[in-house]
Amino acid sequence: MITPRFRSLSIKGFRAYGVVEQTLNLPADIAVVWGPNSKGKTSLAEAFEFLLTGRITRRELMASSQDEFADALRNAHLADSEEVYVAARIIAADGTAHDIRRILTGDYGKKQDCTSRLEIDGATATEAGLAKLGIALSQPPLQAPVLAQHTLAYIFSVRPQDRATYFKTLLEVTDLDHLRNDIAALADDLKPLDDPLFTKFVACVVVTALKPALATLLVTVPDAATLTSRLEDAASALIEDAGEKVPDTLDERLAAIGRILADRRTKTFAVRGFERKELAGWNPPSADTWTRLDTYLEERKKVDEETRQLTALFDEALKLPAISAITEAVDCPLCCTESALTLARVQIIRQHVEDIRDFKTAETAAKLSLTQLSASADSLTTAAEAALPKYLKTPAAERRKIGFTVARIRELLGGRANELVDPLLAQIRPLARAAAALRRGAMQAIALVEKQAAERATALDPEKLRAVFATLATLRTSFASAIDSYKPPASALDTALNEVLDAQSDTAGWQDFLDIARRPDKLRSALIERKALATVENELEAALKQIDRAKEQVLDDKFSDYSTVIQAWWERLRPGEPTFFSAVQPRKGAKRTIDFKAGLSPRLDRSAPKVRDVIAVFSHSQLHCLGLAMFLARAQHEGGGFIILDDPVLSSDEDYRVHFNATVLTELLNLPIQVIVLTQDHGTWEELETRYRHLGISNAQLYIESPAEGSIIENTSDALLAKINRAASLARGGHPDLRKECGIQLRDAGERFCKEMLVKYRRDKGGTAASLSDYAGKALEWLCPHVDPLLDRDPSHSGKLDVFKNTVNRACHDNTPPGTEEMKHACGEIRYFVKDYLGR
Amino acid sequence: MPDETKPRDNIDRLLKHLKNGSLAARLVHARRTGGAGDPAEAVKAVLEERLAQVRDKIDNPEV
Repeated sequence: MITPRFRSLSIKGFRAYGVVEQTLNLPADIAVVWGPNSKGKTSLAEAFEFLLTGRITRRELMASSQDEFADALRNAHLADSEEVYVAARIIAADGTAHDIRRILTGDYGKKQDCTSRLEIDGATATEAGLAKLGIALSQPPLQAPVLAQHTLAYIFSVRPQDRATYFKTLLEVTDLDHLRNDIAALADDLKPLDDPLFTKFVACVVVTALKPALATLLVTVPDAATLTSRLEDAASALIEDAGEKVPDTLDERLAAIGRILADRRTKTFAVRGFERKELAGWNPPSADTWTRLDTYLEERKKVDEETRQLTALFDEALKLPAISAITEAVDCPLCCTESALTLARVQIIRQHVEDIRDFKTAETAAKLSLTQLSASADSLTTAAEAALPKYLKTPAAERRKIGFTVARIRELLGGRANELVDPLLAQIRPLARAAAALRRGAMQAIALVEKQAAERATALDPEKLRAVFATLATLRTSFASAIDSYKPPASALDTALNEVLDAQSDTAGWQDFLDIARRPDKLRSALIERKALATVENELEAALKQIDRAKEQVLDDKFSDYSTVIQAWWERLRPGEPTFFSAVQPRKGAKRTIDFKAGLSPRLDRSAPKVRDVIAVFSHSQLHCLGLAMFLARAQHEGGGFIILDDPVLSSDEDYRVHFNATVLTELLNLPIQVIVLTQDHGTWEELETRYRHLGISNAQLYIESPAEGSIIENTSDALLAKINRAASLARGGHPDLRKECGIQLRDAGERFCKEMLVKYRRDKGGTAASLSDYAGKALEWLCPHVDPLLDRDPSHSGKLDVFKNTVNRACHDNTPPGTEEMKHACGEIRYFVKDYLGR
Repeated sequence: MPDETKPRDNIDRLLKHLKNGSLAARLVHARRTGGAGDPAEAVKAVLEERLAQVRDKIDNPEV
């Protein structure tokens, strides 16, 4: 993975550039472009910005005069039909080459932004497409890695609060904010659920008599035995407080408290009128009940009435030995008829007796069923009566006598009366109706059972009984439903009324105590849960505070790291000065307010420095350097891969130009970052060309022949003589790498010479359209044989060109390039050819 | 690129300032690793585990 690199930039119609596309070649990691004032340097820098972001920073920064940038991007002299674009060939992060182009589709207006269309490899794209190529932009407004004078000044001219944008990457702790919020959201899981038992416990703790025994349970949850002991103590204290004798066991004490509580409440209001029991369960008559009745009817059919009446006589007769042991006919014991009682006749009597026995059994079972049916209907009546509140079973006169009236209840409940009493009243009538219907049904059932039991022998009709009990079951279901509807409003009113009564009878919390003390195991579980939740909630709160503190430290760390990087660039630019850049840091208590601090030392060793804000103490030159250091630190931090520096060194700053040209650029190239330097200083241009010649630095010049044509880019490193001169200076270097670079330059020069020779020949023959581009991509191996016939001024020239070709090829490809003298000779040969044949 | 400029994970930096083994560190770590599913669930699991420990300690203080 590499960082992206520009390999060329082409401009047409953009700002100072005219209708003819101008191309800046960027073959190496360093390029220097020289241009006097107003020749297109800033337009070139802004072309990079426009290509990458679709706008120019200068307008963004000059908020007060944005309308003055109307129509600023399109060259003023360009015909309307001409397209305006900036294009580039880049090597992406994955090493592949891509063509990107941004076409201006709408210039800035007085109140409107410009519009453009981005293309990558010919297809419309978005800025996300650039990111995929590895071109990562910073936060607005300084998105592109292009440093110009106005961007240098920006960071100091904005308010400290607004500098945060420039340091957005540093301040970016959104992921930690999300993390913190996710963890903080867990607090909701620690909110205790509404536990009625715990609520009752809290109500108990405020009761004076109970508090000593119960309050500590909120702090420490004891074991089960200790908890029971505390409850015993609390119950004892409550009874003593009521002035009564304390029983021995907890159950007895609770029963005593219940009695005292009821007595006290009743003194204020006959609250027991609301008492009722839960509706007891009822099992309808079983299938056996009905089977027994049916069996009885079947058995009865088998035995006629006369036989049933003779049953006793038959039994007695069969007990007679003469009859029971009969072997032959004997005289009848009743009528004395001789031999009337034969063996066959005795057998018939025995069969009658047997039939009657089954009938008797069925009859007994049927009686039992009828008794059960009666009891079932009766139990239903009893259960229903018990389930009704007492006041419904008390005559009205009696209720009035004891003060159990709706008016009195309303009076006691005060402002809450309507909300509590009305819902209850709405359920009383249906309940009373259901109870009466059930009662009537049960009475009818009992009456029917009794009637059929009395007339069992003649009028027993199980179907009638089945029907009446089915009706009874339906009535019971209706009653149970009415009870269910009655309970919620009754419970609400009961609770509210008891609260009022407890307040008036000084028994507040007593009922709650009875409720919790009867279930100590559940109380302990509730106390444990509450204590655990509170403990972990506190721990979570502490953890969040630790995370908040750590987050602040992360920010400080990041600033410290960044400060160190800026300091390093500052030191490269202005080494050893007693006034120095000290730190960039968030202001205490205002993390998004950024301060720049300078160290002022009275000594050269920078000892005992006073710290001040840089804005107040730095000179213009120092601020300029700090702006450059920050820009470089940001570029390094973000790892973008390339930067464009438009006049990074002030003309007046000779002292630190040396450091910039040597130390800073070398360090940037080592990172590695591609650096494109635009300068109006010719000395810098020359120095960089010389200093970085070994890296194949490309250089170019900007000039304008006529305003209509606009700025012209001359890639001077491509010119024939420039290549030869560069090669000659490299040939003098002793290092093999320099001679290898010399070989590369000479090969380019040789190819250029051959191409110019071929073009000249064709033009001399009338081929006016001949152009260097006709031979694009042709190497010396192809060019030399074609140029040989044209080297007609000396027979040795053809051989010399071959030797030249062999020398530069060895220089380019061999591990050990030819020696210095050989390279110098090759330089001399090609210089001679250029002078002799091309007249330069 | 010098070490000081290497982009470092914010959560890494955060963990450096939290006491190892503390509830805060465990919650952050769980949020970062997240298990196979929802990171929020992983964080919740840490809290549930702690809650169970505290419950147990209150119920059986001698252990």
